[in-house]
Amino acid sequence: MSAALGCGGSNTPPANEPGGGSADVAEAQPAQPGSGLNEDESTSDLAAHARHHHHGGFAMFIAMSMDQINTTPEQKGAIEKIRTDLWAKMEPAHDAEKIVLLAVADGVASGQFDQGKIDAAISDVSTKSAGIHDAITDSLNQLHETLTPPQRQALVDKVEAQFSVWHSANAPEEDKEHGHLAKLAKEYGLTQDQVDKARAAYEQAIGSVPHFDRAEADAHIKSFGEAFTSDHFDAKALPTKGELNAHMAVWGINRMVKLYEAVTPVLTPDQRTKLADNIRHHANSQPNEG
Amino acid sequence: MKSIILVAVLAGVSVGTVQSADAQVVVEVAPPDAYIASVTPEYYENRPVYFYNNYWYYRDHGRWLYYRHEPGYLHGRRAYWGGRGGGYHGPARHGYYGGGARYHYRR
Repeated sequence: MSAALGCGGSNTPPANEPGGGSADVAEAQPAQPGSGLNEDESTSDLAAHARHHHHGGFAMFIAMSMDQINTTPEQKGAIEKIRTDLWAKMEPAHDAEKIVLLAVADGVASGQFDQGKIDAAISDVSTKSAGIHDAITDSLNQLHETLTPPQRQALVDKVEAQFSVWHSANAPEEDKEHGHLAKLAKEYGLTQDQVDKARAAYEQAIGSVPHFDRAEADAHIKSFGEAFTSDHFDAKALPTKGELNAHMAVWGINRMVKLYEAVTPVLTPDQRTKLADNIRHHANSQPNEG
Repeated sequence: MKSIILVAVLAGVSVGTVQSADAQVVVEVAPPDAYIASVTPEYYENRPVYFYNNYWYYRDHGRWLYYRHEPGYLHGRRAYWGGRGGGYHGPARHGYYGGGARYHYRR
């Protein structure tokens, strides 16, 4: 464990400063993966987003991060154009995901899931998500040209953080305190018996679903981060292609479907109605482009 | 808990060295991913820095570092980022549904 030792005790190399000086810095202990998800309204919304929107994969993380890297007024026009293009390229996958969400909402409301319709829609999301990477390479190259080196680093920081949030929110195991089921229990007033039954059903169901391979994403994060923070970047040269986005989308959606299928039988009619409305809210949401 | 304060009694542990009987080791915990994902950075020394829990943090080769002594420029920027003590999350923080921030999803 690295630590900041009292005065002068740090073994952390000093950061470079203009003029060759050094700053008094220390290494921080990494935060726990997934921590902070329910810290406040913003991060709680972020978790809810991560549990319901999987279609864009890393392209979505980039688009979501673009507003939060402190760009200048002079960059505004170019950023707007790139953002609009990114969302447009993700729209087919977004629309396919919407069909899944609406089918799931109908299943929750009625207590009967149309598995054939859901499976076909998931397959469509997979296909559409796989096409995103190639569709946005020009936009990513333009984004690199538009941003300053520190802004590029900020984008990489945030994309990595977005992925970590998504990965934690969609872990195969349900966190008893901060997981999706815990959130539903709080939001809809589920009893402990309802939670226990839903958890058991979910754990049984998720076991048969091929899990997402984080190593695939970590490799992409590393290659993207190194490439995007360098002076020369070409998205077409990234080793990871569209399959990663598809894998993320399929895993995330399957996990979500399994959880809702597990919880639905234990809900009261009123709880089902409210939950279905909430899922429809996610289905009908659109990226806010300004 | 954002800081972990460990008080280690070193007497009897480090034989042959001159140390105080007690040493206080302070370990700051880096900002959570959810925080980094939803906050806007400041820029300092040609890199993004994030104000969290009363410290300014930045990444360096995968590690999170923080300024133990706040640089003057960043101290001046506290007013913009809140400056009201620990845990302030900055004015440019965005949620994902509702509110006025971009890329919130809306109906």
